[in-house]
Amino acid sequence: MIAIAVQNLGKKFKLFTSPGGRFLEYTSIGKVKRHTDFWALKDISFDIPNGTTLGILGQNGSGKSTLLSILSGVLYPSEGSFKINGKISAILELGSGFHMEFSGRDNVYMYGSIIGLSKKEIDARFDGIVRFSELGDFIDQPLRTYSSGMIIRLAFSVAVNVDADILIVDEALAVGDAIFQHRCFRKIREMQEAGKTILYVGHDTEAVRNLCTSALLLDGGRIIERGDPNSVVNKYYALIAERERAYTEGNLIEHGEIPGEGYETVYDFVRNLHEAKIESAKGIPVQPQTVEILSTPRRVIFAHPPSKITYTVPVGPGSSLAFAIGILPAAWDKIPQGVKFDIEVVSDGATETLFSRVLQPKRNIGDRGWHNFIVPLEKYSGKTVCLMFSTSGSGDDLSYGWSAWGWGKIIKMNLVNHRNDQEINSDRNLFDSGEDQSVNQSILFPNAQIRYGNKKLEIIRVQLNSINEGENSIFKGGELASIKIFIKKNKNITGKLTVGCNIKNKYSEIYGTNTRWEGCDIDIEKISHDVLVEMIIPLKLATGIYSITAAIACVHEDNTIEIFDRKEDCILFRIQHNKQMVGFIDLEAKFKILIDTT
Amino acid sequence: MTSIFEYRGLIWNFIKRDISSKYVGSLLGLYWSVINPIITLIIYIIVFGVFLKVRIPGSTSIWDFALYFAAGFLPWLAFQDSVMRASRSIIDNKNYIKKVPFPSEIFPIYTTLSEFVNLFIGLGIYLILFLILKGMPTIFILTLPVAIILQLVFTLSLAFFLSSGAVYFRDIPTMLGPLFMIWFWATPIAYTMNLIPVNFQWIVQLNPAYYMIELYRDALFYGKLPEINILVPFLIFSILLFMLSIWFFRKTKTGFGELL
Repeated sequence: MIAIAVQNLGKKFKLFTSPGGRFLEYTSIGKVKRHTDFWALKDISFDIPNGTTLGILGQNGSGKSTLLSILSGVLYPSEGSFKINGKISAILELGSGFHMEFSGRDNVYMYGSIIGLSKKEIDARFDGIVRFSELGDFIDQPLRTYSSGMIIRLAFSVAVNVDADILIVDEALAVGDAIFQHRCFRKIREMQEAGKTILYVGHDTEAVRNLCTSALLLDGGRIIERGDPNSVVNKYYALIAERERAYTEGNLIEHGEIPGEGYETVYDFVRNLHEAKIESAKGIPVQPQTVEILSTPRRVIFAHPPSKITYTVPVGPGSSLAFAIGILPAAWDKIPQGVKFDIEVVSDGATETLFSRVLQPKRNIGDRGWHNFIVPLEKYSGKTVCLMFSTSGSGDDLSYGWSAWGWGKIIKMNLVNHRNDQEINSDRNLFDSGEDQSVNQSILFPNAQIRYGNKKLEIIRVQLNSINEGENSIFKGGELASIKIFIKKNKNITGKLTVGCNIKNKYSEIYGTNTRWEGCDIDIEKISHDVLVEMIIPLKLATGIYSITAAIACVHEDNTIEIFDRKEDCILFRIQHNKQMVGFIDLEAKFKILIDTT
Repeated sequence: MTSIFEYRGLIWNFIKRDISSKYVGSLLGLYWSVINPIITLIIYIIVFGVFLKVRIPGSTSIWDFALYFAAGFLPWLAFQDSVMRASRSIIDNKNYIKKVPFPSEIFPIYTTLSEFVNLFIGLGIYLILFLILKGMPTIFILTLPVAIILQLVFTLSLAFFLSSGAVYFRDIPTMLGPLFMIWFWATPIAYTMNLIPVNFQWIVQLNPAYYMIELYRDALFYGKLPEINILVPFLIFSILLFMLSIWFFRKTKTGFGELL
């Protein structure tokens, strides 16, 4: 059973510059147009099966609230449709929808009748609601006499106790004291176990990781990532980090990772555009164009949205796809909702999304300029695949949506000449050469390729050793291991270098620390070229597969964090524990048994 | 309408709160509802009855004019207050409409209903006046509920139109003040029909408020059955307007969430 089915949902807001404009437009019966359209949501489709908990992440203004408002019935969609099977109870901003002059009791009945309960049904649940909220006799006092904590307790207690089939929770849970939060989460878990469907929306990534069974990442009103909560959370962090970095670097014209000297080009998309199948908006050609970046001319493909360019190419072993996306500067201020760039791969009849990103240059200064990406194609090695590059925009802005694909090519790592790159690659090989070949890295840790940071300092290599047996990927539970992080200094800067490491499994972060918390940050000035940071750690973990994420950063005096380099899930290892236990961590409990023999 | 009926408990709750917050323990509330109409009534009677010597046809008594005026003016005052307050009912309650899928119809409904308390206060004032000046009213006062129900239907229709319209044009509640003043003078309340030049009397015939007020005068002042050519047109007009207003409200309420 599908609890919530959303189909191509879109929400358009009309932005009027003046109330007079609105009046003119309404009264002229379509003759006068004084508004600009803004699509807060576009092309949203997803199904939430019964009993799942879906987390929705996204920056402010990404459309989360609009989506929730539509699902809870406050806003009406401009296009598409959604279907809800079951009663829905929403906690949108706790306590809103309550009437301050009414008593707690009246408000409970009021809320109950809004979500469609009869008086008898509320009567039956009333005691439970009061007990959970711990309001006692206050329930008959007007709400204005309540403390804010009491209002929140009441609101939550009503929302979870009305036996709705679907519960929508937003940031609301972040308020309230620790005990109450704990109780709320326990209640949510109970509801999960009872097979209720829950929609959790907010910025609290830990809650998403811990509570949700799947997650969506919204950006610019569109879904840019969906899947298991861990990978979506990581993508969310990566997105924020990239925006943040691009923002601080101001008007840098090029961002992201470009292939270094260790790569050779196998297939150039710009040069081979004539081989591609092109679909585009009528009248606007998809064509090569030259842009100048810092006075250097570069060839790009101009692809006005909507457009789709399809190449059929063979993928050799060790190939990656290197490309850039960008919106031509003249359009930056004209397209509030931005342009979405997608790359899809059709291989053996199945279509997969390789890359998806929205650029909103008007809202995010960091989205201006060119954004370089390298996406590995190892998965398709040895096959001939269709690569589809599509751009999509929406609404009236189409005529301004000048977007372009830059210098796309398939590249291949040249392993012979460049030892350095080979070493980076060896992180991967560490796992591949391990004994357990059956584990597919990309399925377990889909973020294994995510790397970001400004690379003023760079992680050259991360190595996981057993203290006794050298480089290894299978460890015994409790074994002492060493994590070595090799760092290269690329720029002469001042400050303290913080080196950190996290151990994760598929579900959550298990342990992480860094040199700052341990009080041993490194003066960057003292580093001449390289530095090796070694972390000795007992792997007191249960049997399973774990990953290591390494990061280097600098915490500035104003507490802002400048990320130099962060490699998600760069090492995978397996723990083989000789004892059975539940959970992830071996807390080494000992039993003591006293039998009364008298 | 069925959904509105399901929410009757909620509407009743809102009315109770609204009335108690307005009248219980508030001197000002009482002032607005009782003393204010009485003072206004006295001023009009002095200006029109004493200074301008307006009399109703077939009578020279100033008290007949006073009762004639009060029978129209008190319902009018309640009508005007209800419509003006109901026009703001959606805007004033935006906190509910924006955050929860509230059945927004209940706001104009409960505001209108709770403002109707003013009508009963007004009718009470009138009946006291009548008892003092004329003695017992005739049996035809029993037709009063017809006038009240039709006024309610007419008021609700305007409340639906204006409260929803006010979301789209915020100026509507402000514009209503002057509009109601014009409407008041365009309706024979402070003067009689025979004072209007014959060429202009057809305008009054197009004014729904004239029919509404006439129903009250027949029941309260003249003490006779409502005239067929007053009752039937107003009945049909009110029902059609009411249906149209509900259709309009339903159509426009989809925009409340984003415009509020």
